[in-house]
Amino acid sequence: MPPISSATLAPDASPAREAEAHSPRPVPRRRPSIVRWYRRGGLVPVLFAIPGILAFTYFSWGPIVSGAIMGFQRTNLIDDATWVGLTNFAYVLSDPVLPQAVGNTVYFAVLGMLFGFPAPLVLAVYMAELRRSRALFNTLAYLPVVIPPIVAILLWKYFYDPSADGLFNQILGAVGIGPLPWLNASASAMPSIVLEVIWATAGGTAIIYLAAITSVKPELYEAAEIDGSGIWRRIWHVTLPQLRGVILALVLLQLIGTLQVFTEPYVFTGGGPDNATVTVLMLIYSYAFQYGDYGAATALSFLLAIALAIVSVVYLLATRKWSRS
Amino acid sequence: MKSRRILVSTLAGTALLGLALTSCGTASEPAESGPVTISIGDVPGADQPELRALVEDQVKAFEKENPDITIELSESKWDATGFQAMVAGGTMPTLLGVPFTEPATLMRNGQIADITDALDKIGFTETLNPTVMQVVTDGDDRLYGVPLDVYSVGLAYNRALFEAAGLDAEQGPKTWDEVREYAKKISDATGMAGYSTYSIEHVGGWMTTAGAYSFGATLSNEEGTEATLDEPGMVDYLDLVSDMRWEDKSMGSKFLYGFNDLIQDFAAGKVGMFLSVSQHFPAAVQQFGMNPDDYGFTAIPEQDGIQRTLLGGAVEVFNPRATEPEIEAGLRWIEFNNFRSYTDKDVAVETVKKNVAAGSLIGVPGLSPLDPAVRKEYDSWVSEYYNVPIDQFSGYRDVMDEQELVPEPTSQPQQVYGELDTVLQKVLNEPNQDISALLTAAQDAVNTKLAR
Repeated sequence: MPPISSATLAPDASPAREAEAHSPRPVPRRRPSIVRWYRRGGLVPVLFAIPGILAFTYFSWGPIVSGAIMGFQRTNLIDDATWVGLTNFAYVLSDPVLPQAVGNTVYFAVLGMLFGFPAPLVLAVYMAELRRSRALFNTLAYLPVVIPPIVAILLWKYFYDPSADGLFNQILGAVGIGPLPWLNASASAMPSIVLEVIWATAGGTAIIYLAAITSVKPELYEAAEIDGSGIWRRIWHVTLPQLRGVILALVLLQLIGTLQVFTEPYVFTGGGPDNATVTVLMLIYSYAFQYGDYGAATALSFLLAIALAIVSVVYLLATRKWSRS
Repeated sequence: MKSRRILVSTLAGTALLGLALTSCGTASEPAESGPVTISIGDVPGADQPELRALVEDQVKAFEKENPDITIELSESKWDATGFQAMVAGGTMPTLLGVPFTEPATLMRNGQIADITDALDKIGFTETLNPTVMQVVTDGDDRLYGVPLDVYSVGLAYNRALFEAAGLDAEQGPKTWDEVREYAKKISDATGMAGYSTYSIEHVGGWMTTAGAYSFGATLSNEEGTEATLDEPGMVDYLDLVSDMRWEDKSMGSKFLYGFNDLIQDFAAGKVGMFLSVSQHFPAAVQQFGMNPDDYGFTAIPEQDGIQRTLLGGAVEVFNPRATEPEIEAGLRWIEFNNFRSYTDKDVAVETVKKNVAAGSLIGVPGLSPLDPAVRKEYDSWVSEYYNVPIDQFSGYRDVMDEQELVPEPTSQPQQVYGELDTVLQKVLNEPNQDISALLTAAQDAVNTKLAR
């Protein structure tokens, strides 16, 4: 059908036509059509997206859904699974170690946040103040992040040797502090693990904070300096409020990550001493791989996922008024 | 024109969809009779060319003798996480070696094949040691594997530390009272841990079970359906450990020993004695650099004249999807590769010579899955070729055939070991524990899990 050209609209004496001649003509609206979408090349992005979507579905969503279903079944991965309703959930919730595991996980998260949050921030603030050697300190701060986690953990396990010859104990012995048990006592096991985790991850977070700090407008700092505030007051009143968005996002990610901790307690202490470092994910691991009980493992994973979702929602609601929208 | 372009791009998208959704592949249907193909696991990889060549030679010789059986080699080994993935993915070889502690869980979960009928057909069932076969027998007397390496838990001791403490390095301690005395002497003289124990990764529970057995405990009812952990034998063993830890202070300062950590410290000369199996000798010497002259191994200490210990070892199990002809073929391979050495002198001598030439440590004393007399005869044929200092194992060898050998507790030993790990850690972590109460709590926890 040939497009309507203005030449065919002959000027006429009718009032409607006059009104049309004086007011701006509305853009002709066509109904959306697949043909038109396709003609404009709409299929190309879809084709590009298909492999990614399929991979994601197969490797991420597929396992998540089948895991959720497995929580309601009993299976040995060979024969057909049998439906057992909520038995797995009841079993998992009645495990006497679960309360301690949850407590330990929360304890780890709290310690991790309490000490793991200011550390990179302080590091980033100091690095931001440097003029010439910033690149060097950037590299040094990031080095621990580059070391593979297992290597770092085994290294620290060696450092944490509780005898008087252990590396850390020797250093402390030089200043007169007696040999500490580190991982070998329930009270100090979790803090020792948290220390290693902070060392391993502070550098990466510090780099992100550093980037955010240097993006803050220098006029704000100058204004604060003129008003006579020292460096820490400037940080509290200028830097932190400006970094609000970054901090809130990183804290949420860190929270979700630390609540799923597994590698560090598993390699450091295997859950001991006396279940002082057992975490929820370690329980899931032991159900699946030490007892071959996949129903219980997936049931607990499902509950953990729900708990993390609730934590995230509560967090986002609570910090809504502080975040930039 | 436009509709054709739509059609073509839709087909392209569908083709991509189809490619991505092709299934992982189903298990191939084996032949019901005639030629059979099986796969064997635990084959040494390309990093151990001499040992691999040995296996390949054995396979060739076997295939010559049995022309209708073809064997594929697989480097898959057992490990806790990998095994579950292998079973689920259907990539488990027909035969695979697993430790003694595993078949109970695997039988219960139906993840290994029932081989009773095949064993009867080939005629193995009578020749295998019935005590050892308990580890692969389920509640209905069906059999699920063939034990290959068998050993019992004993006591490893560092001869160099014994000498430094003025003790006789040729003779390990014979009773638990001697263990306590020697531990104190070693820690006083050298500052090292006199006695130490595994305590995590369920290995702690495993060795504590062995210790309790040597004190006379049974830890399980007869059917294996209930755990009875709060027994005098177990309490006495844990009391002894607690005394050594808190009164004598002869256990050093490290109490979180996992599987390799303790062997490593032992090899480094930091531990005097620990409950162990003779099969740790190669690891200590080859992996952790221990001087072989320093390694001593004796039987598990006695208490009140009881010489009783826990069985350990490796079992060959079968893929649950294997067919009867495949299982029979696998059993013939086991007979050829493992058992013929015990019954044919020439084969025995040749095998030992080849293994020593390939760099293995041969001669570590152990038991035989067949009759004990068979093992003694075998030793007499080949002991001159051993490259292991078997005199340093004399305390163990003298007793190993007369010991009472006890299989693992209950039908789910891993659950028991997990709970015992925690009890042991509590004992090592804090003094003055009410051991009986701890054991009762552990027992209740295990029984709840057994009932599931």
